[in-house]
Amino acid sequence: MRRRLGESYALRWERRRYIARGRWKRRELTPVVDRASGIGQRDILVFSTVRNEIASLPHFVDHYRRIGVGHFLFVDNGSTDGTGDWLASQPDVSLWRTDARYGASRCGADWMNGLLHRHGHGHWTLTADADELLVYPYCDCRPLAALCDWLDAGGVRAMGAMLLDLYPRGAIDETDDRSDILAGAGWFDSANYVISVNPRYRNLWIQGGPRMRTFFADEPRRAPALNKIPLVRWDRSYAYVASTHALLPRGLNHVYARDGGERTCGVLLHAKFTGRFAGRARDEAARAEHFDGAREYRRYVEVRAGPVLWTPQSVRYEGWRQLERLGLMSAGSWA
Amino acid sequence: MTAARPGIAMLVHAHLHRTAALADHWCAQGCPVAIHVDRRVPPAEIAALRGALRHPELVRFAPRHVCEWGTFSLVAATNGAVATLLSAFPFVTHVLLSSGACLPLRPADALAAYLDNRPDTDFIQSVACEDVSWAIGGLNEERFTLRFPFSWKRQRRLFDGYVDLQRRVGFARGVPAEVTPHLGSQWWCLTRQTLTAILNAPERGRIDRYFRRVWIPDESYYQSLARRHGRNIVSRSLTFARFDGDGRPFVLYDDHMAALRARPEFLARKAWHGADALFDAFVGPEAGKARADAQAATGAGLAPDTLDTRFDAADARRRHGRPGLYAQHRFPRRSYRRDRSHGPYGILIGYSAAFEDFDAWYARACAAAGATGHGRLFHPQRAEFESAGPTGPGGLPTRAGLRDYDPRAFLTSLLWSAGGRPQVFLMEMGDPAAILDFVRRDPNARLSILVGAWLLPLLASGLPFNRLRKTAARMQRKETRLLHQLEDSRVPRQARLTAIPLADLLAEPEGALRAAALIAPQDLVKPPRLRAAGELRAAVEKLRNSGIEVPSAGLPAIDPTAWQVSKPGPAQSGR
Repeated sequence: MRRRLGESYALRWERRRYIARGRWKRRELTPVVDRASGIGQRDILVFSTVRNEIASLPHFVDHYRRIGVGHFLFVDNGSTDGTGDWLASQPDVSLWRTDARYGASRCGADWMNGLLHRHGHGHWTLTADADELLVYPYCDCRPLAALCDWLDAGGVRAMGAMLLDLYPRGAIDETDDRSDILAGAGWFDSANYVISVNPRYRNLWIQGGPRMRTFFADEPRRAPALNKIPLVRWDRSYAYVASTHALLPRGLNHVYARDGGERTCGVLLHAKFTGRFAGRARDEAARAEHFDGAREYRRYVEVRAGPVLWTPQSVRYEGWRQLERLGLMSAGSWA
Repeated sequence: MTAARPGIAMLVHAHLHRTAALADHWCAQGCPVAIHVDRRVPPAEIAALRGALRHPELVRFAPRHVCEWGTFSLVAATNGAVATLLSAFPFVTHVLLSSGACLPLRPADALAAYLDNRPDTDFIQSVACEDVSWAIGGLNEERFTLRFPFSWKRQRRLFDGYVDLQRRVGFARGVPAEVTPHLGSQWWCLTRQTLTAILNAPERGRIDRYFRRVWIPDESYYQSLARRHGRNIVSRSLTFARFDGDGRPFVLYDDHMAALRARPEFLARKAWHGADALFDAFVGPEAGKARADAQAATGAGLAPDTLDTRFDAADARRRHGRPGLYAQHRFPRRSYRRDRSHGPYGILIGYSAAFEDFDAWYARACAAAGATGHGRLFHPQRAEFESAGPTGPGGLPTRAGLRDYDPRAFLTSLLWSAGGRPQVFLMEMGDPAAILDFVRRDPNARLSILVGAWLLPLLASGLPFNRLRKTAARMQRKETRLLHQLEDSRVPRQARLTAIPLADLLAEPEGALRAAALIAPQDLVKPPRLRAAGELRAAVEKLRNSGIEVPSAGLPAIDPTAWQVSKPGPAQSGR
């Protein structure tokens, strides 16, 4: 009992530290276009940190506009490919720029926490990278607001959406367009995931998929985490721990059922493995700003350029109903 | 007989543009509307609502209350709206209670005709709560006898704690003699006579005071009082409404349109406020036209219970989930009774050691039994799936290191991918056996063990005795540990286990094949040959004399004729 009290006390201070860090690190962000005053009371907001993502951003913004996102809040971390200009020209985007180190902001988590603290309070917020596209139950016929209202009605404050790595049929280098991947050229592992509960934050820790079997076969413990909790009804007292894998207070991480039932959840389609991937992996490995000294990217470079992730057992992505049938996603009690 | 003229009492608290459209819809068909707007709605929105009404002469606004779910405020609001409606429109014969999320599925004429055919009838779901528990997972009779000073939504712990305390001390309020507790859906349609009798009853003050302390009185006030004052009650709602296992109403969206058109009820709730297509189709002047198309569509074979099926499925998914699925949304606690695999599977331990050219027979037997026959899934080097290739089903890795990182996830994923098709795989002594901790308490598992089968290839290998001796000692240790693992008495074993001692195997090899889990064939065509191991008894004797006990050989130390009948149980074999 005393240990549990001690732990929750420690977690409370950890959370305060993240919030304070977020607010402190916000000073590194220079507003380029701040249209946040135009945010409506019920708008759903997207938060994202980007770097040289001009190739995927139009698709990203379009996807979220289509499901009814009201406003985008971007941090541009030193892009040199016109990302900033393109974003600034979008009417529903607020943009901050920073040349500070990504790693020093705990892979962008501090910047995101800072912006969420300032602009997210009371809104449904979605925190996603430029190559992560949310699909959720009925996303082909119901807007995101319908989902958020349903979660609200049940007193649910956060929804999980695991990362699902999509890869092309051939070698990674031969696919050059991200929209191809979603339009039917994307394949995935349907049942190759390992799950355990993280005892500290009580979130699920999910690993697996093509990245683990291809790049981390020798040290599976280091394979990237695929669990994410991107959709949160934000409150000033919340904070992301690292990326969007876990939140504090840790009650928010309880997005899964432990009694054998299923909870409503989504999937973040991860269109990471496209033709630009090899070049990106080399850049990021050299820059070493990502998690664990960009170990993940170093592995990709070591494994050799242009690996084939596809296998005869891969499944072609067709839509959310397929993901639900395969058990990767669930509508829970939403019907 | 006067023709029925229903009036609509409507309770709203948000999305007033929908309210205006709904009121217009009813008024245009000659049904007057009394609207109760929650007192927390800002005046500007109400002004906008008033301005938007196209038939203000048929609309009245009832005295406003602050409404909180589960409290008497909703009854007070309803009473006010009903009284307003009845006094302002003397021609109204029935009052239909609805909300801003109730979609009219049929025209008012149809409703009036329906009421006409059943004169003096009150349509209100009303279930005697001493007989049936109507409420989902909540309080039933106790709603009438306990006190509920705390908010269920905001002060859940206090609420639950106080209920618990009252139960323990045996507290119970008296129920007034006039009230026979009944529960049912809030969405009713009552006659003017019944409502007048309820509102004008001399004891109403006392009854209202009593119901102020009843939990969720809007599900019991009218339901109980209609039983007292009504003459002819049909215990059924004219409004379609469904609740999930947590007592939350299911919400209707645009994609429910076709199913809604097939519903036999007059109204349906609860429509999501953003469901534009639903409101366009069912509310407003165009609704009639759409309906004509709909009647045609209904003929196209859409069952009216489509929505029920869908909601039932959703409820089952939330409550029980899909067995054997481990995912981001379903991760049952360990040792929980729903913590089990998806489909049947069999593990044959020792078979590939005991028989020569086992594979051909195995493949045939699996095919005959409609099962997928994998090789040694837990081979120390690599997982031997049925299909060759860089990965197994679902993208499972063949690399032993990845498999052994979480063998349980490996096996449960494989079974989930199989979708219920029986899976069989082989195991030999020396394969990583951690998975058996899960297998032994999984009711889907069937194990067939040939105890001591590892001796046969070992003795046939022609190894120098010194190495053979060491290997035998190691294998015997592993087997003992494995049998112990399977018979661990702390958690009851749920897997079905068949253990065949070596002696029995030697006496009747076909018996072992017939005991093969899941693929046991009826007749044995071309059975595989037992591996010849030379003079087994002498070899075991020699091992024993060199200091290595091999109990799993099942050969007793003294009696040379007993080895057909002696069957050391797995528990005894571990020493």
